[in-house]
Amino acid sequence: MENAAKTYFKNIKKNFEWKGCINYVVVVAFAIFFSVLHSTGNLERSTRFLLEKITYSAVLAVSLCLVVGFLGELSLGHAAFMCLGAYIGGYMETYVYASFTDAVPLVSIIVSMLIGGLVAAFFGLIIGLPALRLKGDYLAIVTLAFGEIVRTVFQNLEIFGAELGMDTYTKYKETFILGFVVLLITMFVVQNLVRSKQGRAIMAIRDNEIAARSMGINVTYYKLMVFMLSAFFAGIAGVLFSNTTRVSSGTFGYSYSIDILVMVVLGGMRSVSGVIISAALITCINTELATVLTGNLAALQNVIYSLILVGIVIFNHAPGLKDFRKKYNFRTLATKIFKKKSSAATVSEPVSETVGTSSVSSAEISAESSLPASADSVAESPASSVVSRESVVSDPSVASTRQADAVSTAEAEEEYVLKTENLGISFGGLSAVKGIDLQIKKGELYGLIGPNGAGKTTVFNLLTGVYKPTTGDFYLNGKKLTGKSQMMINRAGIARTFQNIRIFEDMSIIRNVMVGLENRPEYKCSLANSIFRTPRYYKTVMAMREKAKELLRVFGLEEIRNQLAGNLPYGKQRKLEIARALATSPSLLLLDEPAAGMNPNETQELMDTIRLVRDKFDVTILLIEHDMRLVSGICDRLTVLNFGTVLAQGEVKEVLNDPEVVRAYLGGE
Amino acid sequence: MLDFITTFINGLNLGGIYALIALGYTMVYGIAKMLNFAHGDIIMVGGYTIMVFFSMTGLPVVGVLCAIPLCVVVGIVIEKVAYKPLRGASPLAVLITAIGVSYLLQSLAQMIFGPGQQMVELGDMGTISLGSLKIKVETIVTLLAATLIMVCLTLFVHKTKAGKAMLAVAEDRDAARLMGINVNAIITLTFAIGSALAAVAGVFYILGSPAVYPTLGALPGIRAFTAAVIGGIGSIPGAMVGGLLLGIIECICGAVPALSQYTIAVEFALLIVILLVKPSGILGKKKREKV
Repeated sequence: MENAAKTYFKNIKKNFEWKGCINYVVVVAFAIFFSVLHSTGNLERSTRFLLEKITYSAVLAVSLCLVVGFLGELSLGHAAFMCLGAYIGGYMETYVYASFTDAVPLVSIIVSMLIGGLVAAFFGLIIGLPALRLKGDYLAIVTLAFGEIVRTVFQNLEIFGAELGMDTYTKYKETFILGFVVLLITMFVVQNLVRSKQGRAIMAIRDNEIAARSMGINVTYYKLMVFMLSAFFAGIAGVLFSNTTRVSSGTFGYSYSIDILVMVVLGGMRSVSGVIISAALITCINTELATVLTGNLAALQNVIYSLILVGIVIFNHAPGLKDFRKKYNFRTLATKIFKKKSSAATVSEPVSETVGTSSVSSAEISAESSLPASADSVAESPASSVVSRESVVSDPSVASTRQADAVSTAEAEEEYVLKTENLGISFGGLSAVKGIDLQIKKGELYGLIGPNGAGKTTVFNLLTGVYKPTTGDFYLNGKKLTGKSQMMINRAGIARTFQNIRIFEDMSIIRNVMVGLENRPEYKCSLANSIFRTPRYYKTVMAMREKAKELLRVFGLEEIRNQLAGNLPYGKQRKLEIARALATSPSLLLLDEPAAGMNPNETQELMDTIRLVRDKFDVTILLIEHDMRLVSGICDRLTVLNFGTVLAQGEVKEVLNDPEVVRAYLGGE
Repeated sequence: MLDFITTFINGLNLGGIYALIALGYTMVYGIAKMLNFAHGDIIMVGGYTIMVFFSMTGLPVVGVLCAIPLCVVVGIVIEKVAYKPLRGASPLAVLITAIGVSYLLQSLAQMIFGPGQQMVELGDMGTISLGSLKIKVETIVTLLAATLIMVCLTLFVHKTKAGKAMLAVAEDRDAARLMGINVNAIITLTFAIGSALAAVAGVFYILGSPAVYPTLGALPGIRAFTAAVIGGIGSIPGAMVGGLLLGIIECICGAVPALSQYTIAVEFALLIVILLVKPSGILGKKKREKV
């Protein structure tokens, strides 16, 4: 027991995200400062009111940041969640608890906040459902529509005062301290979520949803979870709002949603601290300007905000300004200033979640992986208990005998690794792929070749669940996978790489691989564990990191593991994609034109890598290729596709000499 | 029965306006591949232009003739300054920028003209009577204009060189560029046409409800987007069908006492249903994402 506690504290110390603490310290300092003022009677009512406004605006902004910055979806109806919280929570607090005269004010306000938050979370789930099917523009409009519907409904409900709204207040006196506390809790939950393995999965979905699905990430769960959590906090912000301001539907319209969006964009969409700062800033500015700018000029501040919004987005995202951004972004400037001070700089380049998108925020350096964990300090962690795939190290002779064994044992055992029966798919009236019968044995290097447009990638898409077959079935190790989702298929044991590399460019190399480990059962870790940073969480993460390092070591990428994946040269990106696919522990690995764009040297290296992968990871490989040198160099057997059907199948030499194949694909002498 | 027909005809009137706006949305979406949130606000710009020139000269025609070129200019400027730099950027960034532009237009209008409504009485075109049925002339004019414009646009897109270039850019921008098509010019042309359509829609809108205010374009804009999606985004006849359908639905809702307060809710609910059930809309084509 004592040992476990010691390990836990050591893990916390080693992994502690010091930089993330600054936020809490600052907020707590402000809270203490103002409480002291308040208790000595020096805090003006207007200032208290301003503080409350700042805190609920900040909570709101952080909640929207979760959806926009980390999930990458634009929600234009966020004010609706606040509206729900304000109305329902406010109603409970003002009218329902008023009847309980002996209710403790603090308890009643907490209950009201929870109710408001949970109601909003429920609607967050409802709006999350369309989010599963829609993306980008359409989802933005749907959230906007949702916001308007909610507002319209409340505008017409008599019980809530219809158009005029209703008065809301709370018996709890220190509402501004409550605001600070809620803000701290929101920061805690959101920051811990974002910097956890679940946070990585969410960002993977943002960066490349198709790749995320192909790695078995439960996209549905994460999207719904983010919407619900975000709505929950927005709802609580609404209850805070109702404490001091009367509630009417007109407040929670489209323009309020835009105001929150401005706060998020201004603060740097992916930075919690930046968003809080900008929320505070904008709220203060609005309050000050409200007195100065009267009449028509009141709109001037909106003009300025919209110009800032457009300016910031263009500055941060315009492809043409990429070089400008590299020179003048916050992190580069900060590094230049601080470079002289720190002599023992970290060996690896600090990896930031907010590359190029932070404007007001301080440089967000994720501390989770910037500490190079040395081998001996990890000794106490149960990383060694994780089953290592590489324990079976083989030399070439063993590999070839295993190959020979595979052929005979395959006949002895009933299973092929992959078996397809009459697999096919039609789009409309056009059959893209038809009557595909494949039998791939364990440990084989199997090639799928044919002219462009023959349907090779379509076959891959069928095997990974991107498309559902219209005819036929396929089985992995005897298990029928026809019609299953991408996530289920990956969990059953099929992983792939893509023709156009789909790595997560904004993440570090090691993180890319760790995302691949995300849904492995040995690394399961619930959301609560992640948020509250329990011992189990640290154990899991450290184990994942070790495993990821092992994988990267095989491909020679371990040294640079903290660099951004997007900075890698093409050949290394390919390797990373393969490493990431292997992280999902597949039985069958599908490689889609892995040698595309490579020169002969790189291709040779790739051939060695593929052989190594097959041997070291005990995995069967099916690859699509056009490079005949590679195909004849490493493949055991081939299938040739032409116009969606099988043209020839069998041993490499036979197939490549088949006159039909030569005529259709390889060309004459 | 008579009431129903009257409602239906009002619906056609409104629907014609929505169709004109939706045409602009759908063209920009199909060719520039972005949702121009600020499209609805161009209507507002047109409305204020009409108001300004009308109050200056007392002639509605002057207002209308000035509004169309001005809106075209505004549309082109927006494209060049805000959208062009973001070509190739993430769709989220483009969306946020479009929202920012929309917000900017609304705030500028509020700053210059104030938040309140200003009346712009362009006069009445009169009514035709068919027995006991009264049809406003402007309804007929709106419908004729919308149909005419749709026909012209379809001919333009399929028969002229520039129109075919637009189709090419909508299909595959890089391939079009490699074929020597000036993609920048085509996109600018798209925005110009879209803005001109918005201006025309604005004229008819004000004929029907003669008030301008900064947020004039916001709601019709969203509704027209709904119409474009229902009809099939990217499809010109789709915009027409969707626009008319939405106009009719809106007027019917308005006529039913229980639903009149919830018209916008009904329209949005319809949008959500369509997006979930048949996202490509009534006349649209299903797009498959290449993996």
